[in-house]
Amino acid sequence: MVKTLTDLILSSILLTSLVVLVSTSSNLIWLSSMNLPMDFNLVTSTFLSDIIGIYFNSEIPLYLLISLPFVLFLSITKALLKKTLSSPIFLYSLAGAISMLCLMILTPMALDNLEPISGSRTYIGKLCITACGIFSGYFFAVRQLKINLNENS
Amino acid sequence: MKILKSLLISIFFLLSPVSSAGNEVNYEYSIIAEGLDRPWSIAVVDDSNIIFTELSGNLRQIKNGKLLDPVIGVPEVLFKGQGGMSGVVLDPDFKKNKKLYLAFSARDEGKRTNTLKVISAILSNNQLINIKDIFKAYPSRDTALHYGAKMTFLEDGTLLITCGDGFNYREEAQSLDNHFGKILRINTDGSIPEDNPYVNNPNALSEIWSYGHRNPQGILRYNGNILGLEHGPMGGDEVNVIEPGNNYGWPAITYGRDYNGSTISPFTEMEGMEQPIKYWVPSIAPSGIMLYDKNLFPDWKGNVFISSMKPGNVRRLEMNGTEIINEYILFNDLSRIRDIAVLPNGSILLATDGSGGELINVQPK
Repeated sequence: MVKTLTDLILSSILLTSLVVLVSTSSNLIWLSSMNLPMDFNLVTSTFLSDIIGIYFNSEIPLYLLISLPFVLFLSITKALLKKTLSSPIFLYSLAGAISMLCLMILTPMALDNLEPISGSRTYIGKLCITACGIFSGYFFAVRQLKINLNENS
Repeated sequence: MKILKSLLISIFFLLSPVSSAGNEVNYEYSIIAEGLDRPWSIAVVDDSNIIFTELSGNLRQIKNGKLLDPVIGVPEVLFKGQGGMSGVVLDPDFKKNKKLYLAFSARDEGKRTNTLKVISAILSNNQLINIKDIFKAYPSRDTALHYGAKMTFLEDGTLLITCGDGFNYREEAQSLDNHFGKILRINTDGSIPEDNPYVNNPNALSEIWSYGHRNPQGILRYNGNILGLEHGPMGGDEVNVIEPGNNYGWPAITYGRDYNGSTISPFTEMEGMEQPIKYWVPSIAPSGIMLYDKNLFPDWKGNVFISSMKPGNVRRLEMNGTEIINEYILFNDLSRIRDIAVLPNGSILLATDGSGGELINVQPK
């Protein structure tokens, strides 16, 4: 239970960081297209600043908005896996993807089309954020499989 | 320990750029209208005749000191998010022609999108007649945020209109092929002045006067200059001196961050983009701007006043030309203040925000 909880938290942190990476990247790409000077230090410090900012300097708790549907879908999948023989890696990855799609579809519907994740305003951005959900779900699945292997051996 | 604490507090106040010192003017409030539904913008006819908008879609009048029922014949607005009946400005000849201008969000017929519209109309016996559409922002949006929707007249009789970036469309503020994040200049019949800065640029919309704005919620003619009040993101509220054709940088340069804590731009300056004469970090959520040019509060004459909603007060800016010398906080015992105006007799009018909003008159005690 504690290990699963730890995995959920780690996967959520990974997902939030990846979503921030997508938003920051799309932002910096646009700024670069406006001829604003980019260098390695600036890109790195912006990424770090955004990850810190999203947790400690935000008026909208975006990390909660991202983590809650993700944790919910992973928990449902975990319950489903007790009754099905499907591949956990596939199902957790799918759950991660669906959670992000739900987030990107339902949040604007609830907020008068406002997009709180700036990186999700384009189709490419939406695709990347869905991929973040898949990867984070996969990460969770792999860790869960390791726990199961350790418990069985 | 106590001495150290007192010393630190004294140092803080000595170093603080915002001061309550210099505010030794005694004043009192009197409520002139209450129970209002999100009062948004005020236009003053004279001391006892005031016109104002309510975001929910009303235009209202205080006539001879008495609050009338909502004006009838007002166009239907989209009342959603920050959208609704927003800006009102009187024609320079209002006393003769009873003409006024309204800026509001309107739903596109048969569509899920909406846009900023400006109309002219004649106010006759608490009714709007001769309504004419004079501006419609292009393209439409699917959000109900960041309309700007404030107006002022230039000396030549042309009308400046602020148009916000629509929140989701912030990058569009840097493109000249749309109205997002722009200040626009039109004639009062809706035509485009021939001397607008981009009138000969085939890739730009001819109404554009300046660009690179986020959500300009105030615009003021001030001693031959135009001051634009920019409602920034989390931090980065600004006062700019607006010049035709200039780029004010949003969102390529900004002093603010996104509400979710992420960076909008790591840059605060860039060649070809204008710097504000004042910015606030953290935000004060500015909502309205006025010049105090009367004598009732002689110490405040020539100062620029900015109403703010966070936490709810008025910033009095002592000016030297377009340079801000000092900033003082006033009226911080009220709630969020949505707009500010001065009456001909020199008293100050404040509109408090939200349902149950009030119009409050401030005069010397």
